[in-house]
Amino acid sequence: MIKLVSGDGAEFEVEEEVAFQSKIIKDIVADADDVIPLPTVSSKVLIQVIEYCRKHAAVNSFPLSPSSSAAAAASSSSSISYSKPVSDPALRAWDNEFVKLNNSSLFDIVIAANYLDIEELVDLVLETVADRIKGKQAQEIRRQFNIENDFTPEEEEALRRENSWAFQNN
Amino acid sequence: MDDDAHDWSLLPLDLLRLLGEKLELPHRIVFRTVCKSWCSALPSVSVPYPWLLLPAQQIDDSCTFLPLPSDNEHHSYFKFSPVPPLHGMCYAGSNGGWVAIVDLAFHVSLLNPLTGTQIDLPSLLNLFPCESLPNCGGYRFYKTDGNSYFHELETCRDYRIMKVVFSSNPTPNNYMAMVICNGFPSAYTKAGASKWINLDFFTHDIIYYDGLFYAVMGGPSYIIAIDLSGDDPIKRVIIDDDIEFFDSLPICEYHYHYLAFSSTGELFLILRRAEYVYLDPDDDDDDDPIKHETIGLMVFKYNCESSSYWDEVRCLGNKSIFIGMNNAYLLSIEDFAGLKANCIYFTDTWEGSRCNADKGRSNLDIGIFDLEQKKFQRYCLPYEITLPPPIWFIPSM
Repeated sequence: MIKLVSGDGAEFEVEEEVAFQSKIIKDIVADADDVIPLPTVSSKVLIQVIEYCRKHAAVNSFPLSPSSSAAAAASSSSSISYSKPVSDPALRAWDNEFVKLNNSSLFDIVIAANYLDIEELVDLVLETVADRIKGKQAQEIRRQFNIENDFTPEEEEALRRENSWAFQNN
Repeated sequence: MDDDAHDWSLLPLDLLRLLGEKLELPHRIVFRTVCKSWCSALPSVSVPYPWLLLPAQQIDDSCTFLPLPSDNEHHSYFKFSPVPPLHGMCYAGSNGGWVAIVDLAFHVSLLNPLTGTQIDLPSLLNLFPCESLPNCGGYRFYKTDGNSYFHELETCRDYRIMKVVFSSNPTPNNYMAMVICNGFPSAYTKAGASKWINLDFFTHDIIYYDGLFYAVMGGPSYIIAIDLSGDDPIKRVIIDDDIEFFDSLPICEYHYHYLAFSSTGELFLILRRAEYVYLDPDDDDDDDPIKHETIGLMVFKYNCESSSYWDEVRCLGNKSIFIGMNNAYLLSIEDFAGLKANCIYFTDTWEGSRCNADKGRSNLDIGIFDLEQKKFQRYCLPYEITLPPPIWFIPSM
């Protein structure tokens, strides 16, 4: 077991394969002890990240997830097919539920996932955020993501001119 | 909760870059206008336009937009996955940011590929004396002598529909459209009509301009305007004379006429000559052409006081012309970055693309012709294409 300590002092004991979803923790454990302080990650966020890692560790540790084993057996392939997280529909559905959070929570999670080097989680959150940006005008994006427009009117106009076709309304 | 909501302009630059890279081109452009930090996360994606819309590659549902090639960037192109997917659709025409697409059942839609806005037009099937044979994957066509023959779905669509021409900025409640068919008269439809209505004449090319359709009937000597706004179409003759039309292009079998308007309403005629190219030109028995290639282009301007009605134009000033399956454009280099002046930008003819499809080849007849120097510059496409032929369009969102 590995002990993770959040920025606000809460301790979480997790199995190695769960903690090792983070490449950083895997590297630290290789040459240090089993208590790992994570001063920049709050306990609220760490709980969410551990939940994600636990789910993915469980799926990744078995060659076949329960839902796909029947299908694989039926196909009677001679080679063993390992389920990849992205291609496993059950895990993907779980991921989609996991990211049903407001933008602010997603911000915390992606910062933590980036810090802990959990590539799949970074990708999952950014994919979700990209979906929330698509098709929206700049003003709407600023409102939803709490961003101030820090361009001068001249700079904004220059940017719009660069690709004027993208801003025509017809 | 929103009181302490995070400011996403503070996301680390490497994460912002990863985020921006997940977006497709039109959304990236908006992404860069949100704030300074988001702007700095992605390189500028200034893209010259119009674009050449290429058909989807079979492996995915994306289609490709090829911007005007500059001298050092022949292969830059942008992929985009429109909703609905365009795979299997035939591009039959374009006007501005809108493209006419036809599916295998002859359903026609006008689509803005960047916004996904789609306007469904009536099916073209009623224009043809044919019967659908769903179990055989095709149509039975009836000839006037009572005999019939079988057409496969794709062949049928790709060989019967030559061009769909439609009004600018269409909406579901306000559009007009005409179709040029191979072997059948032209037809029209408009908002509120339940089907396409046959006209009693054949046309070579049609263009929509300022409320009217203009058609090349028999060549430079027979041009009409068609008004579809009333209950019945009204034909008005522009030129119907035995005129002395002279051109200096080499004589060959295939010639095409296109009409184009300038923004101030001047009418232009573009003459294009093309011929089949054979592997061994000296072998008379070689009946297997490798491509259909444009060998010359000329531009004329309508002048009602001239005896031939058409004056040759050797200089378009700061303008260039775009021809192909699109509603022809005459664009000014001041409005379109990256555009070369005094050129004709052409994409494949209908005949040329059918030749490619028949042979399963991808020798498309696409390029730029410099009117002054009389020189061709051919385009290289990023991947093999047979049908549909690429089409010019002016992106708008």
